[in-house]
Amino acid sequence: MGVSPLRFRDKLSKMEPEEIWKQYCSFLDLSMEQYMGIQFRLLEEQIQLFGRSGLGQRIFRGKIPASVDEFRQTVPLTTYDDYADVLLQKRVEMLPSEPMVWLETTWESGSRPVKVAPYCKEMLGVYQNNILAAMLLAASRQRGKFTLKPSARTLYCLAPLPYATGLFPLLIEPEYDMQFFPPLNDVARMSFSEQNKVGFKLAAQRGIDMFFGMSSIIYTITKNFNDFISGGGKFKLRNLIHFTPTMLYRLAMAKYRSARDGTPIRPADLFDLQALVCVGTDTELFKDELEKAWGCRPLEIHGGTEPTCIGTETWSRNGLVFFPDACFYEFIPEQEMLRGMDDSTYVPKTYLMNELTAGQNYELVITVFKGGAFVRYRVGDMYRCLRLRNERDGLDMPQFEYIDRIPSVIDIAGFTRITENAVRRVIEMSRLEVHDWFAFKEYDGENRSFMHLYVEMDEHAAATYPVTERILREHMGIYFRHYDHDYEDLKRLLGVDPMQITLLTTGTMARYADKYGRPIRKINPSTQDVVDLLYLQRAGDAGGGERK
Amino acid sequence: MTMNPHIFSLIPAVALLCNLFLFMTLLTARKNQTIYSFMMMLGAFMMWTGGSLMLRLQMYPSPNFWWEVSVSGIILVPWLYYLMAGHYVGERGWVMKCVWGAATILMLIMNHNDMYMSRPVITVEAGRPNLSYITHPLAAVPILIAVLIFISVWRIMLRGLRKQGVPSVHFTPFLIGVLVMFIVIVLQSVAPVLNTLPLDTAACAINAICIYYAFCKKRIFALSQIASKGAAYFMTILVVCSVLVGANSAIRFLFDTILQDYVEYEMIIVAVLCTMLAILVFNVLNLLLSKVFVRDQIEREDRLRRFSTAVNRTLQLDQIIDTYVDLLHEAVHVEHAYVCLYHREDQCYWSEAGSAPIHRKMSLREDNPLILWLREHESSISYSEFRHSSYFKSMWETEKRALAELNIGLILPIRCDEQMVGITLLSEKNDRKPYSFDETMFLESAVSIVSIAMQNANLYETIQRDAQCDALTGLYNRRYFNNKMEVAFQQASGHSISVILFNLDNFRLYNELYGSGKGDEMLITFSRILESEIGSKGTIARYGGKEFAILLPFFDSTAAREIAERIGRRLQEDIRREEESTRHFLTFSAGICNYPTAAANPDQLLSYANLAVFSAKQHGKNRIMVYTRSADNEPQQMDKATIVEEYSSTIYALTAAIDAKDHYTFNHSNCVAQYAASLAEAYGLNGDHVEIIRQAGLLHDIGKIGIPDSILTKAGKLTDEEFAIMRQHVERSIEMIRHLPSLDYVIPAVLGHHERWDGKGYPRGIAGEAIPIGARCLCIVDSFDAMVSRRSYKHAMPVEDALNEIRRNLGRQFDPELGFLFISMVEEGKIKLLNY
Repeated sequence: MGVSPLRFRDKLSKMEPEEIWKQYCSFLDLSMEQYMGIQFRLLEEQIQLFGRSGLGQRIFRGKIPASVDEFRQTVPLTTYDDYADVLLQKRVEMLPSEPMVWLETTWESGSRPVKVAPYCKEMLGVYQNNILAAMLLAASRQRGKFTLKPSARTLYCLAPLPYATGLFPLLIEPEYDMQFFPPLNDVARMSFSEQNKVGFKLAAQRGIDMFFGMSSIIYTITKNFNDFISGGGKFKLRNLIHFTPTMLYRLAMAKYRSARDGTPIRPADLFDLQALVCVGTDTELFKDELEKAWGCRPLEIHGGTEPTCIGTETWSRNGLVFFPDACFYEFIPEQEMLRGMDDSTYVPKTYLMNELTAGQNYELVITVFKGGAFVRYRVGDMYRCLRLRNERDGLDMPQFEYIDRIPSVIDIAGFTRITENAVRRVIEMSRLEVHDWFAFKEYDGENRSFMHLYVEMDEHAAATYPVTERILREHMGIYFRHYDHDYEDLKRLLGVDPMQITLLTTGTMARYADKYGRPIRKINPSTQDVVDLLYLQRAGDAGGGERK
Repeated sequence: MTMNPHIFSLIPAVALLCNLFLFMTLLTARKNQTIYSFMMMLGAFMMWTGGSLMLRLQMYPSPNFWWEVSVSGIILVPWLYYLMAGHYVGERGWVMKCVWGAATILMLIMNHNDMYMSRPVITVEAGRPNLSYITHPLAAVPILIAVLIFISVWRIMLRGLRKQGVPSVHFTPFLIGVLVMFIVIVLQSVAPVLNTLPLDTAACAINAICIYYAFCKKRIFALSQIASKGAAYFMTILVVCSVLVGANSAIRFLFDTILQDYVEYEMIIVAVLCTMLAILVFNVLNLLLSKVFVRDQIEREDRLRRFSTAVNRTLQLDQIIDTYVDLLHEAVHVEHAYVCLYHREDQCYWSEAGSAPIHRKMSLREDNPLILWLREHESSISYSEFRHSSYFKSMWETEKRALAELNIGLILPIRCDEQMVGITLLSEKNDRKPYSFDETMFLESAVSIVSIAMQNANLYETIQRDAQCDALTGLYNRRYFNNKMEVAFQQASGHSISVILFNLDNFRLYNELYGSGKGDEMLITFSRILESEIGSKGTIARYGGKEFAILLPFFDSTAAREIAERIGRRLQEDIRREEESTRHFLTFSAGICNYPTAAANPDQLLSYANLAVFSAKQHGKNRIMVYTRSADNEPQQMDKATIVEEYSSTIYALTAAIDAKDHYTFNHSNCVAQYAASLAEAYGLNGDHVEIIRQAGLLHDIGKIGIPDSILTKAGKLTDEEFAIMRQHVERSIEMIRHLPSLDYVIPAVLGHHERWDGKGYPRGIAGEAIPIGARCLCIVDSFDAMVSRRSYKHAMPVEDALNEIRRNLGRQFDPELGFLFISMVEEGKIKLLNY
């Protein structure tokens, strides 16, 4: 090619902001019709690419769909099981395009530890463009207006490669001068916990312009900010020599104001952030507090190992929009999804982006564009459609809020994914004489999520051994940590106990099943079901919670 | 203060001229707030430098006056700089503008009252004037305020950089300008020797030039405005005045010494010389400015003019494209330029070669996002810009690769009558620089010109094509074919030429069966088959209504026959794909003649090919005949009687076949034939026509041979599906009869015998007298015989009742006149009933 394209960094210093905005964020100006036009066209390309591959032949059952309608009618909804034999063995010859990198994530904690996803060159190109767009949006407070220096010191509290978040710095760095804390070369040698601590130390010494992190980590840092600043109470004068004069000044002023007003130091007292970007579960719960502490509202981006980076909030930070060129999006309404969970033969209906209803919860189904390996893939994420268009922000496309994983998975702080199998296996390993159980994701007073395990002990065991909630929690906690390493990180990184146990009166769950004609769901039953069951335990059969 | 009088005068003079010149060029620019504030600042610069100059020259009215002007200019600069910077970065708010404005006014008042410095005192030492003044401590105040204002300017720019995202490169010239001023001031303060030079005024001019450049970069105004006529006039006045002043003593000396005799004409001579000088200087300056600043523009205009003339001189699309591509290569120095034109047939934009024999064939689909962008925005776009538009997101990788391989840099739409008829794709320039604004504008102008030329060429081509082509099929017409054949003969020089004439068989019948619309469709289909088979090997024409001719230079009869056979196969394959099986009967008869073996000139070639077609028809249609000089080709005329005689055995063979299958139908056909012949005779039809109707009666149900026995002899009522099959017997009859050459005259009667007078019949649903008379006769007698005969599923109806039924349906199912005639004939015994 002739003229080499400008780097993002050079664009910031040489081009008009409107032009830069147009280059990266013009997808926000699309009408719904134009948005769907991009979706359909790229799906057409993906069908052809995928159909030519061995994997495609298998999923398409030998017949390449000729249209979008045919694709949706004939291609089955898929899960990772449909791809596992090809992808886990990294059988490149079966894929629609040659992978440049393989990303990894937790599949089911314990027994099926990882799932991997291939990324080809074209996918990475789209990913890069979209992540830069998200960065612009993170540095914006209104449409088209952003504040981004040509280089930025960045605190990076996201998992490194081979996790999906590890791609961010690799894709951003060639385009933008980012000084990562800790430096990327060092990250590979560090544990995630160490990475966060070293990163924050450097940030405090040199100052930062951007913060990329998991919501739960940012929240933990914010909560324990004063401890972090003082180095856990061990303040040493010689540490000050590493501080830049600006940071020393800010620190001194912050300490003075803190002492004067009797308030703790806030991150905003030390840092003047251009952008705060967060990923992960439960972000919505932390946003207000983080904004108060950091002086700028966090921008949430969304994605995953299989779907790439698919969504970002905009300047108003009130809902995710999905990038039109990352994946083809289909949505299963919650009721359809639940019906499918109860009846494995039922095929849930899917709806397209222009067929949604505001306020409805949906399970996301994606087909990755540009030679991706997943078609009609059930990611396992639930989104709420907040609105179909945002007139205030001038967006003619739906906006979403990430709710959680699908009910059959308990995701705690974005670190671990606990399934029914995992809990059952842990109970077996612990040799505790648990008669019945169910698990439910709950939140503590600080909006931190945990797994609440409701347990019925065997009647005989309860009479023979000392069985208390504390004993059970500690006993099972050991086996959970043994079985699932991510679970272990939770305690270490966030300082939270991710599990609480409530002992139920023996026979409660059986009585519930008798009364309502069905057993309670093992993982994440509805809140009403839990209330009914607890009422049943307290009040016996008399009244309460009667419903069909 | 030591003065260097020459330099002190020269430097401010140059600085003043520079500022004045920039100011003049801005007068012609389109103004906005930024330009107004810049002009005000130039005004302050002119006060500064001009005041300084006049002071040095001790001009009228007084040094004090010019001193105050100069210092006021200096005092005004920071505030005006603040205003200009605010407008430049789009800063809002007026508080600080007012604060600094008020401070500036205060400083001006204080300066007027000599509170900073004393008035300068000019003394002359050794012939050189010296300037001295006393500075008061209060002089620190304006310096402090100026520093504060410049800090505000700095903050505004920083804010613009950070908050409003103004690119930092836009500030570089400003920074250089301010830096130069700063360095000069520092140098003057640390090195007293430099203080003797008026470097501050020089820095002032440099600063003005830097700002001017920054504005040009930001396209607030164009650099070419420097070359305006106003600037040339202004410069001329300055030069002439300078010469006049400078040469004053010389002129005086000249008239005092050498030209004493002409002293009374001194004024006139000087005036004439001045005028000549002014004209000369103006033209030279105008030329110089144009050469330096607008040379490219002039060249481009000239090129466009030549291009416009060239493309408007021709109506040949190829030549227009050639000229256009040449222009692109020449004007913007690109390696490749592709002109793609829209092809309605496949809805793609295909690259056109012009007259180049070899070119890279490429196409862009109509739904390509690039095409959609161009259609919506109706303007050119650089490929790098397109890559960052949302349209690019829906580009396929193959499409991206195709454009990347061509190294496309700029794309321009070609529009005619609100339609995008083509696009121009330009590769990156040879120097790898991006297309400039001026180049893009030039190319868009070129596209406008070429689009008009192409429109004219298309119009011409359309008219020419209309005159040469058949409107329905798009093939050449007879006249063009004949001309082409003449030309082919002239160029033949002993080579072989063959002509194939195709004549579609039973095409009138096809039209009657399916309507002329379907017939037209079939003609078009046949044309496409011919085109795909012949390609560029020959010339195809629609020679008549259902006749097609192909001229094949260099082909002998055998090769031509192979082609004709292949076309026949293609036609049958194509027809078989159609849903309705009854279309299977469309065939053609073809005649081939060859030069020089069978014909000696174009007339003979066509005439003998025609004879061969006729011969093919005579020999049973659906065949290809090659004309030879043997007797085989002699047409054999047969009269109707001969035909009837020849085919009577076939007719009876067919009726015997139906007898074997269904005896009722055989008897029924006989009865219908007789009744119908009697009715037709009574109606006054001639003998030939009566005979046709009789034969039609015999054959009208012949198609029932193909109806399954289970339906034909079913005892109960037919189901809908069975009835649908039964209805097919009409078309099946036609299918069989058409294979009896020269008996096709019975087909209209057979085809229409289930049509109803009110139009509700089948197969065509025609009504009234549109139904052939024979068919109307058959309809009445067929119904009558069906009613009065006994069948497996019904008893015979009494004749009275049958006639009453006919009477009731006169005007609905039956022709009233014929029906009434038939009833009366039966009632009067003129028609004898046959029993079977």
